[in-house]
Formats: sequence, C-alpha cells, structure tokens
Amino acid sequence: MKAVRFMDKFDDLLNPIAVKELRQAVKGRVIVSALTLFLLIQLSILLLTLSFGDRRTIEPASLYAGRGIFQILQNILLGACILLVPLYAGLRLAAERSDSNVDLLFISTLRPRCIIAGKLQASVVLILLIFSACAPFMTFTYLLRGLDIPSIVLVLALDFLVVLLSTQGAIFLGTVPANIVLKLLLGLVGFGFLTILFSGTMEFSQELLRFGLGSHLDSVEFWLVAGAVAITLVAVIGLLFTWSVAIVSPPSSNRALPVRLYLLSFWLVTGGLAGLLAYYFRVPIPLYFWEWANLTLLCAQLLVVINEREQWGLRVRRTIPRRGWLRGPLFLLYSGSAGGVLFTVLLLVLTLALPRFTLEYWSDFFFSSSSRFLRDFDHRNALTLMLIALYTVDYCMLAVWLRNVLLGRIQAAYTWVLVLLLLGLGSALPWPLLFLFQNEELRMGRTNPWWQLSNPFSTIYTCVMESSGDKTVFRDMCPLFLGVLGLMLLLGCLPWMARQVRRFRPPEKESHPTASAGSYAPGAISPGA
Amino acid sequence: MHIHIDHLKKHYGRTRAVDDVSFTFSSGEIVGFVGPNGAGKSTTMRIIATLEEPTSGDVFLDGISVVEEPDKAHRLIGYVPDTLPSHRDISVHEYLDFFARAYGIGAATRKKVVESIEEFTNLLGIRDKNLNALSKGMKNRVSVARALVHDPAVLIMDEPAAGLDPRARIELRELLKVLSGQGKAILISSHILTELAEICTAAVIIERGKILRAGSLAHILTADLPHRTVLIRTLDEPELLHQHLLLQPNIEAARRIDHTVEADVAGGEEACCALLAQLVRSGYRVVEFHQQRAGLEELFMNVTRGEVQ
Repeated sequence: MKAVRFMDKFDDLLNPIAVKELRQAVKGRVIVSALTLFLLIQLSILLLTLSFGDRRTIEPASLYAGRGIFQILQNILLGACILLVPLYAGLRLAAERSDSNVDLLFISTLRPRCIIAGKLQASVVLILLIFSACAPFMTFTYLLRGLDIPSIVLVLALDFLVVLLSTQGAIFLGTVPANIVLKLLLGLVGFGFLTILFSGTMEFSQELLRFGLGSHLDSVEFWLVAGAVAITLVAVIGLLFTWSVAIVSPPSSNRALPVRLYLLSFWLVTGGLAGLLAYYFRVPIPLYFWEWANLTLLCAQLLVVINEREQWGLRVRRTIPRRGWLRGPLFLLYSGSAGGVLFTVLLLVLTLALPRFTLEYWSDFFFSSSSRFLRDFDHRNALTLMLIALYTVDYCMLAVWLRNVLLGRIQAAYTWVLVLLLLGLGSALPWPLLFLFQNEELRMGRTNPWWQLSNPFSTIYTCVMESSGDKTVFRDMCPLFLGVLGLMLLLGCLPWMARQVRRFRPPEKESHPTASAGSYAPGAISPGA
Repeated sequence: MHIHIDHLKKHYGRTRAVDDVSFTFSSGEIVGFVGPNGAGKSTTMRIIATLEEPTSGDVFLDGISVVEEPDKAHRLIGYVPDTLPSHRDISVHEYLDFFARAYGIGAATRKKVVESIEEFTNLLGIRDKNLNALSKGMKNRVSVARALVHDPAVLIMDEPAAGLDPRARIELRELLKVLSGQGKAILISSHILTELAEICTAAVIIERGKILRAGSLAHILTADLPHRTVLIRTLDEPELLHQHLLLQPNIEAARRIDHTVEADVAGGEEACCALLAQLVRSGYRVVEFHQQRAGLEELFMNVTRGEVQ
C-alpha cells in the first residue's frame, strides 16, 4: 500500500503536459523511427569509418583514435539532437497553438508556466533518450586513445546545454502567434539559427578536445570561463522560457512583469559575471560580450514594448498598488508601452554608460601601454553600440509619435510594422535623393555622409569603418544629432506617456454582488437592469 | 449555484461586441443563448469562461468574480468550445486523463473519475481509439466529457450541436437533460432553435451585443404578445361557438378550424381565464381550451433584425 501511495504522490508531481507529450511521442511514429534511424546511422558510420577510414587516425594504436571517432559520434549526436528535438517540439507547439487548443489549456487550472515547462521537460526526456542511445558508442571511444573522461563529460554537458537552448528557442518560436507565412519565415530563421549553433558548437568542442580538458580541471581560470559559459547559456534558456510564458499568457494578465524582472536579473547577473571575468583576466573583452548581448536584447525588447497596450484591464488594474511611491517603480515593470519604453531606454543608457565609465576610470588596469589595437577597437565598439541604440530608439519613438499624432487609426499592436516601414524608407530614400542632387559626387564615391543620415547601415559603416579626415566631423556630430533627435522624440511622446501614467492606478472601489446565493431570484432567469 | 452576469461590456475599438449585458440563472436551469452570428454570444461565453476580459462589468459564480479570481472560477466552469478536439496520437482515455491531471485531480481518484465520465458520456467503448479517428458526434461527446471531468457546477456550451447528425443531437439533448437534473447550471448557444426550445427552461436573445429578451421560456414566449390565441373545442356546434365568440368585446378575431374555434383574446392570461369562465357560465360544454404559444423561432424572427456590427 505504501508503494502505491508513493507512486500516486510521484504521479501527482508530474507535469500533465510532459506526460501528454511523452505519451504522444511514444505513440507517434516520428520519434521511434528517428531513434531507430539514428542508431542505424551511428552504427553504419562507425563501421564504415573503422573499415575504410584514414588508418593513421583510427587505428587502435593511434594516439588520436578515440578523439577522431568521438568527433564523428558527436557530429551525429549533436546533428540529430539539434535538428530533431527542437523541430519536433517547435512544430508541435506551433501546430497546437490554434485558438481552441490554447483556450482549452487556459480553462483548466494549468498555468502558462506549467505549459511551457511541460513542453521543455518532455523535450529533455527525448534529449536524454537520444544521449543514452549514444552512450555505448561514446564509451567505446574511451577505450581507444586520445581522449579522457573529463573531456567527454564536459563536451557532452556543453552539447546538452546547446541542444536545450535550441529546443527552448524552437519552443519560443512555436509560441509566436502568426499566420502560416510568418510561421514559415520564423521556421527558416530558426533553422538558420540551429545550423549556426550546430557548426559553432562543433568547432568549439573540437578546439576543447584538442586543447585537452583533463589537465586544466584544477585551474581557476578554466572554471571561471566554463562557469560563465554555462551560466550564460542557462540564462539565455531562461530568458527564452520567460518570453514563451509571456506569449502564451492571456492578454488580460500582466504578462510583461516576469519578462522585465527576468531581463533586469539577466542584465545584473551577466553584468556581474562579465565584470568578474574582466577584472580577473584584466581584459575588457567580457564586458564587450555583455554589452553586445544586452544591447541586442534591449533593442529587440524596445521593438516589442512599443506594441504593448496603453491601458490596463480590470484584472491588472486591481493589482496596482494604491500607494503612489510604489506605483512609480511598478509602472516600469507592468505591462504597458510607456512603462516598457522607459524601462528599456533606462537599461540601454546604463548598458552603454557603465562599461564606458568602467573602462575609462580604470583604463590603466584594462589597457596596457602596448594594447593600442584594443583601445582603437574599444572606441569603434563603443561608437557602433551607441549608434545602434540611438537608431533603434529614434525609429521606435518616431513610429510611436507618428501613430499617436498623425495616424490615430493604427492599432498599437502594429507599431512594429510602422518601424519597419520607416526603417525601409529611411534606408532607401537617400539613394534617389543622392541620384537627383549629388549625382556627380555619387559617381565619384564622395557623397556628403549627412545625406545618408536616415540610413543606419550606411551611417554606422561610415562612422566605424571609414577613418578619412573629412568624415571626422560627421563621426563626432552624428551621435550628438541622433541623441538630440531621440530626446526630442521622447519629449514629443511625453503627452502619450503622461496619459498612461495617469491611467496607471487601481480602479475605484466597486461594490460587487456578495457571495450570498439568496441575493438573486432563485430559479428564474432575469434580465439585468 | 447562481450565475450573475453583471453589466458586462466588451469593446473592440469602436465595436461593442457585448454592450451592458446582465442576466442571472441558477443550478438546474438550461439557458438557451440565442442570437444571429456576431451578436456577442461567443464573446459573452468566453468572458464567463475567463478566456477574455470584459471592458467593464463582471460575472459572479456564487459571488466569485471571474475577473478577480479566474483560478477559483476555473474549477466551477466546464467550457465546451465550438471547435472539436483534434489532437493526434492520443486516445480518448489519455485525453481525458490529461485534463483530469490538468485540473489537479490526484492519482488516487483520477482513474475512477475518468472512467465514470467515460461511462456517463457513453465513451467506454471507444476509450482506446485515437481522437483524430473519431466522428464529429463522438468528438462532441469527448468535448463534453472533457468539460465535465472536474465536475463543474456550471457548463458553458458554445454551439455544441453544430454539424451533428440527428442521432448525435438527440444524444446530446438527453445528456443535457440528465446534467440539468444533476443540478448543473447550463448556458448553451445554438442556432437550432426548435431543439433549444425543447430542452431549455429559459432563454436569452441577444443582438448587436444587447439583450433583446431574457427570462423563462414560458414568459418570453408570451410576454410581449398583443393578444393571446386560444384553441377551443366544445361538444356543441362549433358554428354556434364561433358566433358567440364574435359577439364578445375582448375577442379580436375568431376562426373556425374543423371542429375547433381559434380566437384572438385581447389582453393577457387573465382575459383567457375570464373567457373560459364566461363560456362555462353560458352553458358551453368545453372539452378543450388551450393557449397557442409562439415558438422560439418565431419570437427570434420577430425580435431580431439580423443586423451585425
């Protein structure tokens, strides 16, 4: 009886979505066929390699035999996992994400977090299944030479994290509500991303194997870098998870809150890690990685938040605190476009300013006298980041301003389309204008760069890559001009923001019908007043 | 259980999908929710089922607000959407087991619960069949079973009879009667008004987001009529009765139909009673006297204009 009770308790702990997904996976032919095919391919390639491969690398006596075969097996394992599992998870979710199916999940007591976690858990089980199918072959490579156990374990751990990242990425793409064309486009983007991730991981792990990890296990540097890579990967998986949960959450909920809290934590944790690594190795490179990663995320975030709603539904409004001092910071975190814009712009400014301040203040610490190249790179890097941020803010705020002032009929949810249209127009328009008014200079390749100011691609290229003297003024003035423009646009949107700040308050206390059943005429339907 | 829809409004931009809708119903009632396409029926039902948020107003299930406490409301509501389950590679039993898990029914009782629901909805014979291999009628039964798995007190059914063959419709009708007998409050929308009239105890007619009529079926079918039509049969000569009726001041018109006489009585049910008493007093041997009722279909056609927003 105790065993039955224990099993029941264990069963209750299981995520219903994971159970359903795994049942479907077991019953469906896709997974069973793919797994069998995977084992067959593995066996065939191994046999073919051992029979006809380069004798020097695969002979048991060779010093590299284990590593050579491990890399072949890893190619197969990663190839199968990185394509099969994410595609399976993403496609299934995209197919299920019709209105009716999602509705059914929401009408139950399942929470959106539980839905996405269930999908991820089912994928983890599938990944482990494929990894376990590979285990006997991997063990075989250890019996040959050129490979140690820590290397195998660490490379497999990296592979697992990468597959988990790509699966969560696919789940995220699967949650995006889109029509079939957009879904196909997203699928293509996802496939490209998976291909890059696969080749990048293979390159990286081959380097690691060649480097040999076994002898570095007692060095602090090794664990610092390994820990930073692992934490970053887990943090990105978490970010994608939070985004997915937000997308499947009902629009009436405060779905931006967990995303913004996570982004803030991500920004802080990865920032702290980057600072720690930069301090330890006395190089600014970790800070550059941090800047780029966070700037990319925040620019994407700005493009998303401008589409958010401008007023709150009852369910969210009833959670707004009545105390004014608490409402201020919460305005930045709650769903809502103005709060989202302020939150993102604030983080963007800090992302640009903090590393600059750190590197300037402790420049002797980070840049030794011989590192002129690094200093030059630092300047170009800072300029590129600043221009990207300024253009993103300018175009987004221009779209918000236009939508509010001139095109009142455009729904907030389509502001991103307006941004893309403006960006396309801004990038293309200078060319016919140059053709009309600067034809001679255009042919000579000596056009005035100010003509291309609305084109971010050309401007960033001119500012960062071209170092001729006549572009210096433009390089110095361009960020200033874009900054002032951004500030003016933000000021122009001030009434729009103020409107939302005014609306951000809890509802007046309402008197609801009480829980008493006797307050209604029993047994008779009655039209309301 | 009392369900109170309280001044519900749902606006999409300038479109008022639901415009100040209020009504109340209770356990054991089957309420037909009737209206032309785009009238706001599905939106209202989705708000009751917590799937959409009202622009203003609220729905209370024994005082529990679906806006403020959607999690509590989920446990009280069974929702049957207008789409049928279409998951691949999952059997009927696994599907119901999944929803039982999703509603947090513990492993100790889950098996019994799912089996009893399967038995109740007559699914035991097909429990191991895959969902995508089922007919529309069977899928419909699965959909109802899914909504019942957590034993909700309120059942919201959005066009459950759409596309069903006559047999499946009759089965659904019987099922609803049993559920109503068990004390569940049922709100059902359908375009098949004759069938609704057979099972509903009350009806709400809605158009362009506004309620046109609401109340018990008997009430709304007779409430606004300018006169009542009664069918009278006596053992006497029908022509005599016909002539007698035409002389009465509150009779607007009278027609002979074979051995009976049909009369339009001005006024309400009181006038009908007075007429019957007067006939008996006058010595007529009345064997049949009943009021002709307008059908739900007729009422629907009279009160709605078929306008969409």
